Amino acid sequence: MTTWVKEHFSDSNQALTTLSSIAAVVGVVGFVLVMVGVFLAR
Amino acid sequence: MGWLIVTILVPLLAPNIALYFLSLVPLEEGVAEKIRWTAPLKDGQLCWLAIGFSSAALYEMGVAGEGKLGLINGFGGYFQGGFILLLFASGLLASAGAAFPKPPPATLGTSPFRHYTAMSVSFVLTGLSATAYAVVHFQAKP
Repeated sequence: MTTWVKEHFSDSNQALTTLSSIAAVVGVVGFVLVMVGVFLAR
Repeated sequence: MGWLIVTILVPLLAPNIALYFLSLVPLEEGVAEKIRWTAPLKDGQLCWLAIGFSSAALYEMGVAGEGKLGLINGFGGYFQGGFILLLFASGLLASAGAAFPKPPPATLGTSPFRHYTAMSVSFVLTGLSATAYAVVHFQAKP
């Protein structure tokens, strides 16, 4: 875990890329969840 | 249509419309060159808009509609969960962009979408939040 953090947050550029990737994945999952709700509610 | 323009389109375009007017003002040398369309968006600032869309959708489902959540046939939990995740993702990127601002590219001709990662992801997140909000608004219409 510590190694992973060191690897991915070693400089600000890398940290921004890591956080952007996490945000993108979480956001897409959220959108899919809303769409699943739409599908089930029909 | 009016709802889409007022709630989604105007907030999306407002920063760059304002920036256009700023570019008409005679500014000191060196500042004018920095005023590009990426300036108000480059560090993922658009995510504040995505946060607004997600919060507004949650409000509309839970409070404003008084029962709108019930109107989506009891599957409101999926909607709420999805919007909370979108809210979290947008908040994370907005704060990450503020903590790690990216300087403009050193060489001309670099694609802004490739250079400004936070901006590209914020476009995606804002698009997803706006679409989901519009779906809830029209789906949950009493």
